[in-house]
Amino acid sequence: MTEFLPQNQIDSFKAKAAAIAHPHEMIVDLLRAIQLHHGWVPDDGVLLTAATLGVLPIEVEEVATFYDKIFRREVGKRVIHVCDSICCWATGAEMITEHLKKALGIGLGETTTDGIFTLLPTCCLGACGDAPAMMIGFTTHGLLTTEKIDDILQKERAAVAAEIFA
Amino acid sequence: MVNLTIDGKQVTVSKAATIYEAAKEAGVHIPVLCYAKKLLPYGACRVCLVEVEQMKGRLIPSCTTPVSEGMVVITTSDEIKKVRKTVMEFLLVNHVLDCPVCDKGGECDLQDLTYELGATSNRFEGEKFDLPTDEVNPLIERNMNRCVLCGKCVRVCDEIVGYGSYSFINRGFETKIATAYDRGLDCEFCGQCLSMCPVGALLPRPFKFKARPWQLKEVDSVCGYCGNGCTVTLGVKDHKVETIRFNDKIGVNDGNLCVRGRFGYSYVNHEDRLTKPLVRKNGELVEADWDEALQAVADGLSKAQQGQGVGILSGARLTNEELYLLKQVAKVVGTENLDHSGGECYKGVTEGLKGALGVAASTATFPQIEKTNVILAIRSDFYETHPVVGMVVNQAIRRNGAKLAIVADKKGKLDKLPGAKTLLSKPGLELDVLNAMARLLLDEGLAQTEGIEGLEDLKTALADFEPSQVAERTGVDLETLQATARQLAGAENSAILMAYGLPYQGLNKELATAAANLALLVGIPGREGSGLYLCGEKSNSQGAIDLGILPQNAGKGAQQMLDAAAEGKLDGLYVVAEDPLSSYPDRDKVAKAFDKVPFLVVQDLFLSPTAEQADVVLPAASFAEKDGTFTNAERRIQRVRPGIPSPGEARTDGAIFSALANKLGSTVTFTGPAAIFAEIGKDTKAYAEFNFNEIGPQGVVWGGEVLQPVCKKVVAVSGGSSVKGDFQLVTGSALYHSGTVSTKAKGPMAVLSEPYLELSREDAKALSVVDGDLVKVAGNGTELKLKVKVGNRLPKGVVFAPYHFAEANVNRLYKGEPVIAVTVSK
Amino acid sequence: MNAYTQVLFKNRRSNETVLLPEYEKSGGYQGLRAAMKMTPAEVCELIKGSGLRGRGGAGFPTGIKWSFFPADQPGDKYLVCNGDEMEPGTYKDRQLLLADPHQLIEGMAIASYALQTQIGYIFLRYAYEDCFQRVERAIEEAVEVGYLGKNILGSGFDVELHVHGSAGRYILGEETSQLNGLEGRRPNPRSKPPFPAQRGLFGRPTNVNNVETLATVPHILTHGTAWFQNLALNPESAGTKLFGLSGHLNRPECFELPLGITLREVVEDFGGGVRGGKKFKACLPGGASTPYLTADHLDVMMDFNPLEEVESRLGTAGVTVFDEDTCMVAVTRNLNQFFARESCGWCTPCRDGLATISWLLDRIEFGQATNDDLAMLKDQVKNIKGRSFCALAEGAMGPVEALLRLFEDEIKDHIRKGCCPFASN
Repeated sequence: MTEFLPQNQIDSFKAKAAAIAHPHEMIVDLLRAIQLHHGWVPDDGVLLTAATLGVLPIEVEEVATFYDKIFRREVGKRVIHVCDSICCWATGAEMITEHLKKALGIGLGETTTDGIFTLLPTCCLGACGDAPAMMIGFTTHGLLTTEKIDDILQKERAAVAAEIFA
Repeated sequence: MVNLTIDGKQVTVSKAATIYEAAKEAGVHIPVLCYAKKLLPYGACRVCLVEVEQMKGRLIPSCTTPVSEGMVVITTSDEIKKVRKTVMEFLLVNHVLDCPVCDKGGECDLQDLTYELGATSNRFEGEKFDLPTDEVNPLIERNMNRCVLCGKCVRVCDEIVGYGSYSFINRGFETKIATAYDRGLDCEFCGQCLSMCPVGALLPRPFKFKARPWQLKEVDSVCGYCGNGCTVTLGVKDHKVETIRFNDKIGVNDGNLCVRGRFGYSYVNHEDRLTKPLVRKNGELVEADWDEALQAVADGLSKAQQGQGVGILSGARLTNEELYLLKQVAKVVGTENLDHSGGECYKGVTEGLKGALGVAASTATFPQIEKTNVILAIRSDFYETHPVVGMVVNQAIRRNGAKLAIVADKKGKLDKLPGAKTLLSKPGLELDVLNAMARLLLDEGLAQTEGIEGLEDLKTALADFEPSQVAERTGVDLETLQATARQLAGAENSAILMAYGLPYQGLNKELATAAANLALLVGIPGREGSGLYLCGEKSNSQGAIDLGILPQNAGKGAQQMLDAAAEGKLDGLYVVAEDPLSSYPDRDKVAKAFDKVPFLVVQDLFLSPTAEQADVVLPAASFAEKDGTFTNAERRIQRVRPGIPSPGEARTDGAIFSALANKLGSTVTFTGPAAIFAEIGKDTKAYAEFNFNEIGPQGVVWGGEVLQPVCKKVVAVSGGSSVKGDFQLVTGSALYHSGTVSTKAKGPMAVLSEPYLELSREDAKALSVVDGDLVKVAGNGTELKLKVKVGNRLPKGVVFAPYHFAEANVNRLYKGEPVIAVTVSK
Repeated sequence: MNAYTQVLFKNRRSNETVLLPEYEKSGGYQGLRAAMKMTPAEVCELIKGSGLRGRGGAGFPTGIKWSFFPADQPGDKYLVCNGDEMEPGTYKDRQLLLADPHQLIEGMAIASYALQTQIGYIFLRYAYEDCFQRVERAIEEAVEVGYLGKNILGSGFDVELHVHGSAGRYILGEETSQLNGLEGRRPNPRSKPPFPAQRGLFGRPTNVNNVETLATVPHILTHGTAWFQNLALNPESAGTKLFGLSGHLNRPECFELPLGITLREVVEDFGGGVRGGKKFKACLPGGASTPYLTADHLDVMMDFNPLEEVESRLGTAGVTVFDEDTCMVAVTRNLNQFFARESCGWCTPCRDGLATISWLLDRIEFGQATNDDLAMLKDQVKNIKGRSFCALAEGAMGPVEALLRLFEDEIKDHIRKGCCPFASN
C-alpha cells in the first residue's frame, strides 16, 4: 500500500490525539502532514486521518474539501498558486496567469503531462506590496514578470529532477 | 417567561424560545425552510427573516434568535416579503424544475414557498445543476440537483441518528451534501433524512412513481416489528401500503423510525401471503373454505384434548384483544398449556423483574431516557433490536451530556455515540460484570440500601465478584467498570437498558435480575426520570406478558410442550403468529415435536416452514389489517388501525379465534376490540382504568410514567460461564431485520438479503477468508455453511450469526445458550 | 523617511527578524512586567482607557471587548490571536510578524493575564509559513526564559501558546468560523449569540483579537495611555496603525503611520504617488470589503470615525490605489468574484446571492447589460446586505454599494457603449 505518512508520524499523531480532549482539532494538521508527505490527500488519506484520530471519515471529508490548500485530487509535484485578487489583478495578474498557462501548456486547475506542475488560482496571498505574486509550495514569489516566471519554472523543474534522482 | 409582541399580539413564552417558536405559539405563520422542530437552530436559508424593533438596520432570523423581554417583532412587511421572495429566486436559479416527475410534488416546501411568496418568475439566470443521482443503494435516492442545502439530512443523521452519513463538502457556490469520499450512500437506512428533506432531493426508492401524496390515504397505526411501538402512518393507495408517511405529531418516536419501520412494510402486500385456509388431505395441504378448516381445527383440537392434551404457542405480534381471545380459546379447548415466544426469553421480565421489583415491566417511559445523565446498556445489540430507543439514547448524550456505557460481548452502533464506552466482555460473562458493579457499589458504600431486602444474601453471593478479579476473567477494563458503576451511583437520573427476544434466551433471567439489583442499588426503580427498561423484540411482547399468555396453573410452558410433543406425549399443537422451526432455539427438537405431534394447526401470514408441517393452516392478517391495541416496552397501550383489507380470505387472528371458539361451543361474542378491551381490564387490572375509545394519539401508559415497584429485593445470581473452543458463537438480531417476518419485506431484504457469519478482521486474516467466502461452522453436533462478513465489531475469537434467516439453520447450532463453542474452517 | 514615531516597526529591518535579546534591549517584555504588577481587571481598565480599537477590520474597542469577558469564570478559557490575514490588499500582520514577532507573544501573555485565559492559539493562514516559523521560534525563546509557560515571571500564572497553521479560506478570518477551524470542524460561522466570550472554542469562553491589536498592547502597558493617545494625529483617536499600500503606487509598501493621517499624505508622501504619473482615481481604504474613496476624499483622515463619516471604513488599512485608467466595474467584479468564491456556502443570500451579483457585473462589464440590470443590481444590494448569516456578504456589498454611489456614470457608460470603455487598456 502507498505510504501516506511515515508510521512514526502516524504513531505520534495517534498518541497526541489520545492525550487531548478534542482530537478533531488535529484534523487539519494531519491532512497537511499527509499532503506534505504524499503531495495530496486521496480517499485513503481521509480514512487514515479518521482512523488515526478516531473520528468519522465524513468529519474529515467536510473539513478537507472546505480548504483550498488541501488537495483532494491528484496534483503535480509543484503546485503553483497564482493570485487573482485585487492588488495582483490591478498590477497584471491576468497577463501573468496567461503567461503561466502558455509556459506550462495547461489551463487553470490542470496538471502538466509530465506531472510536475499544477496551476491553480488563489485568492490574495498577503504579498500585496509585491504584486503580482504567486506561491509555489510555501514560497511566495512577488513582483512577477514573464522573465522571472520563466526563471522560477526552470529552477523548480531542475529541483524536481534532482528529487527524482535522489 | 418572557413577554413580547409579535405583529401586535402580546405573547408570553419560555425564555428559551426563539422568535419563530414564539410566533408559532401565538398562531403567527412565519415561512421556514431549514428549520425543523427536532433539530438544533440553524439559520441558513434566510426565509424566516423578521424585523425586530430593537434590532433595526437588519432583518433577524427568527429561527435562531432567542426572544427577549419587550421585543417587538414584525413578521410581514413589504421589505420582508421582498427579501423572502428573493431568497426563493436565489434557490431557484440553479435548482432543476422537474416537478412533474418528482415524487415530492404536492408536498414540497420549495413548491409551497415559491407559491406562498409569489416567486412566479426569476430575474436571474444560471446553469441548472447537473450532478449525477445516487442510485447505488436500494432504498434512498439522492438527487442533489434538487437540493436546497438546508442541511436537515446532515443534521438529523448526526443529531438524532448519531450515524453521520452526510455532511457538506466543498464550499461556496459549489457546496453540496455528500457522503465521505462523495460516494453512494451506505448507512443504516433508517431514512430519517428522507423524512426531513423539504424537497425531492432525498426520496424513498421503493415509493418511486407509486403515487402523488394527495392520492394516499393516511392511517395512523403502530409498527408491527419491535417493542418500541413507533407510530407508523401508512400511506395507502388502492388497498396497498405504498409507503410510510412522516408523522412527528403523535406517538413516542417523534417521527423517527428505523429501516424496518420505514421500509419493512411491504410484507403485508407480499404475493406469498396466505389467502385461503389449507387442510391436509392425503398428505397434501389443499385449499379449503373457512368452515371446513375451522371445523377441522375444532375437531382436531377437541380430539387431542381428550387424548394427551393440546398446547398453544403464540407469537407476540397479536393485538391485546386477540391475545385475550386466544386465552378464551384455550379455556374452551380446556388446556392450560399456553405460552408465547418460546417460553424462555421473556423470563427476565416475568421472573427477573417480578422477583426483584414485584412488577413485570419496564419501570419508566422512553422520553425520560433523554433527560438521564448516565445510561447503561446491556448487550450492544440493544440498538439492533430497538433502534429508535437507541436514537433517544443519542439525544440524551448530545442534548443532555449523558454518559453511555455498554456491557457487551461485541461492539456496535452504541459504541460509536459520543463518549460511549463499551465494557467488552467475553461472551457469556456480561452477568459477572453487572455483579461486579453491584459489588463495587456495596464495597464503596455508594449503594442505596435503605428499604432494600436481601442485601446480606447478595453480599455473600457477590464474594466471587471482586471487580478486579471479574475484570481479569471477563476481559473488561477495570477502570471503565469502576467508573461506570460510580457514575451510575452518582447520577441524578440514569437508565439501564436491556432487550430480550428469542436469540437472547441464554441467562436472560439472570441478566435481568442482576440489572434489577444494580438498578435497586442506585435507586432507579420508582424514581422520576430514571428507569430500568426491559424491551421485548416484538411489537406486543409486553402485551403478551400483561395478558398472561403464559402457562396457566400447572400447564406446560413452550419448551415443555415441545418436549412432550417430541416424546409423543402431546396430541395437539396450535401455533399462532410464530414460526418456531425458523426462530426457536434448537430446531431439531422443534422439528421432532412437530413431526411427532398428531395434530398441528398453524395460523400465520405465510406458509412458513412450520406451516408446511401443519394439518391445518389458517391465513391470518397483518398488523396493517387490524384494529386493536399493542402495548410497547414502556407499557404504553397504543391503537393499531387497519389500513388495508386482508388479501383473499385471510382473517384477523381475533376473528379466527372468535369463530373457532364458537365452533368449540363457546357462546360468548364481542362486538369489537373496544368491548374486548373492556373485558381485558377484568383480568388485567392495570388495563381497567382505560377506555379503548379514549386512547389518544400518545396512547396511555399503564402504571404511569414511573411504575412504582411492589417490592425492592435484591436477588443473588451466580455468574455466567464462558466456553472453550476455537471460536465462540453468539447469535442475535441484525439491525435490518426483526424476527423472521422482515425476511419477507423488500426493504430490509434489499439491504441484507442473506445470512452470514460475522467475524473480526484478525480472524478473517488468520482463516484467509474475505467477505462472501463460505465457511463451515461446526458445534453442538451440527455443521452449517455461512457466508463470511468481516467487520470491526467483534473481538478476536468471537463470531456472530443473525437468527432471522430460516434457511441458515442457525437454530440448529443455537439451543438457547448464551454462547456456543464452534470451529470455523474454510 | 518616515518621521512619525515608530512603535510596532521600530525594530524593523528588511529580511531580518528580531530575536529575544534585541527585543528585550529595546524595552521588550517591560509591558508584561508592568502588567503582572497590576490586577487583571486593572489591565483591562488600562486598555479600555487607552482607546485602542481592534486592528483586524471591525475596529471594536479592545478594552470594552475585554471587559465583557468572564475572566472570573472557573474552568478552561481561551485566547485566540486571529492571524488569518486574508482580506485582499492586506499584508500588514505578515510584515509585523516577520519583523518583530515578540510583540505578539508579549501582547498575548498580557492579554492572557488580563482575561485569565490559560491557553492561547495563534491562528495563521496557510500562506504565512514564514511567519509560522518565526512565531514558533519566538514562543520557544519566551518559554525558555519564563515569559511563557508555567508560573510566568514567578507570578504563579501559566500561559501556554500554540500556533495553528490553517489551510486557506478567507471565511476563517471571521471569528466564529475561525473557532470552528481551530476545533477541526467545518469552518462555517456560528450563530451569535452566544458570543465567543460566552461560548467560544470548545464551548468555553474565548477572546479573539487581531495580531496587530495584541502586538500593540505591550507598548500601552510600557508607555501609558496618554502616550498612546498622543501617537494619533486625530485627537479623538489613539495610536499608530500599520498601513499596507498596494495597487498603482510608486512605493507599494507597508508603513506604520499615525491614525488621522490624511489619505493624501499616505498616497503621495508614503506611497510615492500614483505610478506612471497618472491621476489617482480611487482606492480601497482598508481591504476588499471597504467602500471606495475617490480623489474627493484625499483630505479625509485615515481613521475609524472620519472614514465612516464618508460612508467607508478604515478596515485593515490595506490601501489599494487605482489609477485613472482603471475600470471600476472591473475592479468591483474582481472583488465580488473573490467574495463569491470565498463564501462558505452556508446561507442562501451569500452562496447564491453573490453569484447573482457576479452575473450582473459580468453583464455590465461585457456590455450585455441594460438599465434593468442596473436597477436589479441596486435592488440586489438590499436583498443581500443585512440578510446573510455572517458579515462576509455584508462586506462584499461594500464595494458594490460604493460603485453604485460613486461610479454610476461609469456603469451607465458600459451600458450605453455596449462594452467596457476602458477595454483598450
